[in-house]
Amino acid sequence: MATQPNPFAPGALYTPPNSNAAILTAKPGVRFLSQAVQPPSQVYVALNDVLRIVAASSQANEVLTVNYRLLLPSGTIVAGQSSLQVSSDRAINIHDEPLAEGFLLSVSCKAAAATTRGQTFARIFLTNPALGQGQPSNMLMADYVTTAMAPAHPGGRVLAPTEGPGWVHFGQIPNPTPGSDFIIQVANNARVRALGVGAFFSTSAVVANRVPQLKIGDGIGKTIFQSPTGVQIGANSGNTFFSASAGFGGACVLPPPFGIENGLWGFPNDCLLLPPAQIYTLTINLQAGDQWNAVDFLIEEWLDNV
Amino acid sequence: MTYICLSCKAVYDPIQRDGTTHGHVCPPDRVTTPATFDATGTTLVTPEVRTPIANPRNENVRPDLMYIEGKPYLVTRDPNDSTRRIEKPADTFIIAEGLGRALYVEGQATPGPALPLPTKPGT
Repeated sequence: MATQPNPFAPGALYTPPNSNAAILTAKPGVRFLSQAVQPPSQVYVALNDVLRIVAASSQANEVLTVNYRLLLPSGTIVAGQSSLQVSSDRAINIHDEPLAEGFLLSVSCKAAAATTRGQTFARIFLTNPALGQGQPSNMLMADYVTTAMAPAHPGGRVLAPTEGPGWVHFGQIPNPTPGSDFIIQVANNARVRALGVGAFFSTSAVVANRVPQLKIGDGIGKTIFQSPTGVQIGANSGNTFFSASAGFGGACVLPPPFGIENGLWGFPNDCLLLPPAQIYTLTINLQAGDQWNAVDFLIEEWLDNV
Repeated sequence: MTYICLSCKAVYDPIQRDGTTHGHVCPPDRVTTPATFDATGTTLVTPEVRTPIANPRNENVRPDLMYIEGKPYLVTRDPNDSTRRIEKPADTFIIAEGLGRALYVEGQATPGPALPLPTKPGT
């Protein structure tokens, strides 16, 4: 903590104006008080108030640093800092910072890992334990925070984590075991817009018509979308793409040398998914040696419910 | 660190290449008896049989999980006052443990596919 002298403290040296001085211009219409003025903040901090810092992130090694300035009744301005290690599982992380009585002049925060919106969300407010667990008494700010973007109070915004653009990124899931379909489940506390899925499907020498099909389900047993089917014969391999930009077109036959085993399926446009929604394949006539691998996806992701 | 899911035998890394956490989720079922075709490969002889995975694992974190001062808690309804919520220490973090997971040893996976794969899944 650091302090700085308060020029308006009671008892500060007052120098009266020169009685011989003459005003040669028009009198100003606005006058400012220099003593006994209101503090430059509307956020009064009572003795029981604490500064609650709530954060969630999808980024590894994320640390949220919160800086604040507090005007004490003595007129002293105290600068404080608090760091919160944020887990990367998108769960809510909470830290309470006790404050002395006074006026909260400003709060700002900065992330250590997040570089764009959609990755690390921070919400900061005053709370009083007498109001109940997590009940805000004075909301200060709620917004995404990055290594460069430092939302703050005052001057910041109070946003829901699903407002504004999200984090567009590629991802890849581990390969399923041979003879199994792949499954991508929307992580908890996330909301995603599915933009595309691509995978490599190799078939064993067993002669059989595999019929790969992409499905989107609600995660509790219901299918809400399924793609047109394609056919892939044995002892072959092909890239299978599902893309939102392809729209609702049917199976697409790619020109040689790809052959008919390569499918391009449409994907619903503006496909917003919430947990526990799943994107998965159902490959009819899947054989024990068949393998889905290199399952890549492109999504726009927001944190949600944090 | 690479793990193998003891419910569905999938091999995975909990941290993806982009640094984000990967929560493994078992597929809903597996092919226990593959379909058979005639020599042409187009005429189905016996259809496949799929069996649901009995005890699937889902490593996504529970929606009621939160960390307070670094310690995990589950948020639940107050049994004495349904309008309030309380926190209790978390005994589990994920949605479903299934049969658990084990550290993956190279070569432990089930028989491989027809085409060569990367030596390590996900690479």
